[in-house]
Amino acid sequence: VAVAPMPPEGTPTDKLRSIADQVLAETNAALARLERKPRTGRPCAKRTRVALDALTSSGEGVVPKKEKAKP
Amino acid sequence: VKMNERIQASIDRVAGLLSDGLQVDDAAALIREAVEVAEAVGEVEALTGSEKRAVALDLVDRFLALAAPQVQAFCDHLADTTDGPGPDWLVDPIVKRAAPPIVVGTVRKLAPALVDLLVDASRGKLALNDTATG
Repeated sequence: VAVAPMPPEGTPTDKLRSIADQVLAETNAALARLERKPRTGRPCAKRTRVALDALTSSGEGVVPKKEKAKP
Repeated sequence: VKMNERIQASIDRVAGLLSDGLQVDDAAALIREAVEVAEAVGEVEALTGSEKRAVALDLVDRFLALAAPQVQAFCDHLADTTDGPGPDWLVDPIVKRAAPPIVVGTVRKLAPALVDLLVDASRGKLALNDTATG
């Protein structure tokens, strides 16, 4: 008789996956309520500015594009 | 699962985290919320510890998948608005292709260890304040 192997510990079962499915659906609904169009891929301006500042002040030679364009 | 206030509060916090994009510094908060949700769901559904751990890690994966388009857009924008050493035509596509998996992969790789760390801390297994420093 073939016996299905036990899944490794920590592997989600169908029941656990359905729980995660529901939580994800609720998360999507919560995101929609925030009305920020999270799935359009539009990065937040403030966080982008912070990341740009960090990159360009890192001393690794990264500069804003407009500066490199200058002769 | 019957959603209760505790679960909903965690979900709302996750939505808040994801709503302005995902960066590596969101990792700890995201993983904490996944654990909170798993714990709260576990109480409702009478899950074992390992089942709650599996739910938490599954949720982290799904939250990351949800955030993936924004991570890509964020990295694209950084590559488009900065210049580093090397020609843009060569470097920018590499950055755009490589950076998002690094960000998402870092969070994903950290998740199991951070979940275990959180569980240990909540069980009092970390003795961080044992000695008074005055």
